[in-house]
Amino acid sequence: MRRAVVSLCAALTVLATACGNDGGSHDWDEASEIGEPVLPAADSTAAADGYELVVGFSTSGDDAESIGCVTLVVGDIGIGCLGPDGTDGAASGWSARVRNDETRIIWNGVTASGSFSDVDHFVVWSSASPDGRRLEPIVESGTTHLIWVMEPGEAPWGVQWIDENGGLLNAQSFVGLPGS
Amino acid sequence: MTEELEDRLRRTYRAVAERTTVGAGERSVELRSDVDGPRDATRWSRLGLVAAAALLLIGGLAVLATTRSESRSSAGSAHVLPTWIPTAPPESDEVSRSRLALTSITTDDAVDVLTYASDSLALTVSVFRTSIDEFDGDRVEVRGGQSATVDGDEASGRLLWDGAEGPTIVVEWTGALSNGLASVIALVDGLILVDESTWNAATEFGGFTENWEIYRRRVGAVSVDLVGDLQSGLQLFVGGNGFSESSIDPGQCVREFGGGEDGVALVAVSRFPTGTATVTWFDGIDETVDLVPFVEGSALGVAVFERDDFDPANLPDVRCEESQ
Repeated sequence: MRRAVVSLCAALTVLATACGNDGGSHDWDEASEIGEPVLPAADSTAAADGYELVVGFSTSGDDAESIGCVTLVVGDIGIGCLGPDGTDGAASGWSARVRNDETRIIWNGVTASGSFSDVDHFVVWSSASPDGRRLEPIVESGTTHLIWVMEPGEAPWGVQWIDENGGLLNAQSFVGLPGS
Repeated sequence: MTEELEDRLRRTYRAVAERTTVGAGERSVELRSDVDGPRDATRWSRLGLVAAAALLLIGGLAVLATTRSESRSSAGSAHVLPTWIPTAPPESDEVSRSRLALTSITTDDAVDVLTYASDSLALTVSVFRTSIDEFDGDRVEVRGGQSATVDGDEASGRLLWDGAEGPTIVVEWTGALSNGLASVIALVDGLILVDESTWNAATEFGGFTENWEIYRRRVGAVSVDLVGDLQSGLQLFVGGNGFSESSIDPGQCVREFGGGEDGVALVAVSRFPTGTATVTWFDGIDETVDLVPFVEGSALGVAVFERDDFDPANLPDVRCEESQ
């Protein structure tokens, strides 16, 4: 049952992303309130200050059955469980705005079959980059990720998903999320 | 109104100038040293006429300057928001076209500039609130009968539209457009005139907004909305169905089924702000409703038929006619 709920939430998140609006919530989610401990078997594939992207197995539900997925780890807390395509029980898209102490991260991950998976790069707009700045996607195990780590005091405005022809695939607003 | 006043003033200047010239010509005669009393009286009378004429001329110039200042002041508070932006032609293997990305927004007292781009097409929409130099070019029709000037071709060029009640719009493009010059005309047709507070709200965060609703207007039983933001694009919504201005064929209406607090209705949206919309119902009865401007400064009109005994999945055709 919980898998179904997770998949539903992920699907709704992807739908909100596709519509270009982030759902009207105007604060960061605390990692400790939405995340789960990461299994020690996970392998880190990308890391920077404040986060890791890991591939491994995560339990889902009380039956402790494991599924393979890509997870964003903030501090020591895992956020979400994404694909890859065909993985039983894993979502095909994930979006989170998460805070852990001083670290604030916007994460959008999609599988190859997910919306806008053909993104070439991102342009993020914020109080720190009022004219936009380019951000490269992280591609891992058939999934594509926007991982936007906020600078101190940076309030996000939104992100453009740009395709290989320089055209706009999607624009997603984060106006209202605070700069701390 | 302003042109009328200017014409009147110009006629006054011409009359004053003619009388002033006559007075000056006679004055050389008046300057003789042997002039007597009555001649003095005539002289002073004519000098008075010259002085009065000069005062009238100065006053007229002042009025004209004030009138022009007010006119420019009216345009000074005007901004526009696009409801449709052209796209580049699709690559051969592309199923769908990606849109142009909004890459910059600049604004000052004189001009707003929105810049859009992809790798193959760049386009700017400049909105001038001060006088600019016009350029020569071909005349094309925009916004249901108004005239614009086009200089260039489908690969690059510029279009100037000087709206009677608003700012001067210049659209410049470099690169092929998906539908040629018609794309640029559709852009101009879809511009919505907005006030400064709406412009500021739409551009404050780089074109991303917190609230998607720009306008909401009740027309009869239904809600007609302008929603979205500059980054994602603005869209017109009627009864929960979105469409763009470019999807409306000239002479026809877009038909939508709208639900409202007071019932359901057939809604027609036209490419001109005023005129009529006529539907022939399934029982053969014709009904005609006046179009009203969608919002102030819009080139679109909307009409609502408040009758709820029709099938939303099989809407009757609606014919729109522009008022002459």
